[in-house]
Amino acid sequence: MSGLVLKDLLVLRKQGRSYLLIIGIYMVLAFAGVFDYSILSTMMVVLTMMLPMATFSYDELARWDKFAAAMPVGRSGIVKAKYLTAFAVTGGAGLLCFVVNIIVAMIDQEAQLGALMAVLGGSLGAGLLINAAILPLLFKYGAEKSRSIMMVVMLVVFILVFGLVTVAGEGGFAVPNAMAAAIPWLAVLLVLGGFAFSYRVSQKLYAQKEL
Amino acid sequence: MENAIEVRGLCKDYGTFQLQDVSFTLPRGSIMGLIGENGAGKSTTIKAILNLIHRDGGEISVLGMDCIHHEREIKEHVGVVLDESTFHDMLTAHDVEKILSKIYRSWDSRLFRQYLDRFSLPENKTVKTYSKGMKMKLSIAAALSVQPELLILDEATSGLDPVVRNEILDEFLDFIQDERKAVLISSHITSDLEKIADYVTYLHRGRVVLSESRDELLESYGRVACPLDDLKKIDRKYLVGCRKNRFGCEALVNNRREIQFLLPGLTVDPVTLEDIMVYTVKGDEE
Repeated sequence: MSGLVLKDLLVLRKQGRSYLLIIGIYMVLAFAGVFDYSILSTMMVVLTMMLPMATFSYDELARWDKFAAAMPVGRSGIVKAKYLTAFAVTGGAGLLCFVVNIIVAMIDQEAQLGALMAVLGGSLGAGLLINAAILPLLFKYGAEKSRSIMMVVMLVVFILVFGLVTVAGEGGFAVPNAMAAAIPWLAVLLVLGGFAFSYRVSQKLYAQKEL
Repeated sequence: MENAIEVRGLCKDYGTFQLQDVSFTLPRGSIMGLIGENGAGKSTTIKAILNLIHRDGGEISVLGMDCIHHEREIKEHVGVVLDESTFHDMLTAHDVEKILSKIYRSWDSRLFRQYLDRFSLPENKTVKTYSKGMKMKLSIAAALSVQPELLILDEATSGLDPVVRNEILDEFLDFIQDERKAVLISSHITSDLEKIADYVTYLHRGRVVLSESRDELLESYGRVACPLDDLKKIDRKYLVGCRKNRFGCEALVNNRREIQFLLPGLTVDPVTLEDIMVYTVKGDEE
């Protein structure tokens, strides 16, 4: 199975380099004061969302799925490897942002490391949750169809969140202090639970799929 | 020694196409050619053997083990080549080696490099730069480097020029020198199978029309060219298919010796696997 993760990482080599370049440009722009430093974490979410999807597209192009399922890892190994790749990519991007945040805090005295790390944590969680939502779709429908479905899902989620925030703001609703302290832990639970649930669903879907 | 593959009563219903009661046996130490027209069920059968699809009925055992219950164990010993290159364009042969060495316990890197040399495949160029023949050779090199007991090839020689095809067929013949090993190969190119196959299974519209040793098959079947009146003298049980033309007809018979004995006036010519395929389809249509 580690072979399949390695395959995904090798396939993403070129794309990874392009993404690093994009992050580099945003970093320069952030240092120049064009963007806030937290933009780097947001960028990471977008990129980590796109990379696992890209591996599915490449697999479809190479007709890799049948060959992979004919190997000893089987269908369950394929699913496991994709989730590990998603973790590896998100983790790698998170680590990169972590280092960048520390460098930023060292160079720019006005930058608040705590706030940057909080945004990073939130972005990591969001990245993993988005992957948790998209991976079962990718296993069920493939890269092409999933892309359209994901856009619709993202739009619905955005409208819901935006609507809730607006309604809460207009209604003067504020989160109680006790609940605010628990939010980070609840978020971690939500991400881990979501990922575990998504993994189970993907295993089930892919086991039933005709290749 | 157990058989390499035993397929018994395999059924798969796709609605518009059904694989019906497919049964055949591939003994170790031999090569079986799976022939049939497009959509006859060759790839479906191979997919069922590899558990890539869910069958509706029947049993399949590979290397003496049930292919569902011992899937992982079986796949450690099976090299697979599918009809199109399965490696990503941006990967190199070196990358393929790194990936597969982490997947197969029995992977032999030294052997893989030997095959790369033998097939003149550059190790550090991307698959994208390979020709179709080179891509297929890479797939075959990878399948052989698993040190498999069984090779399963789906249309592995289709679309390749005769020189590359011969080179690849020689590899399969080398592979089979060890009598514990076996090869199942599906192909449209029946002349290839005539060269290497010990057994032939012919699928037609999802059913096994025949599954016999190649020698027996080519020995027993024959082609008769005669006027229509003479054709009527042949017992229908010997007739497999017939093509009428303005001079009379050409017919495929399934017992050459018997026909020659019963009707000494008729000339019964030897046939090729292609003849058997073409006449069977024709006979079925008529």
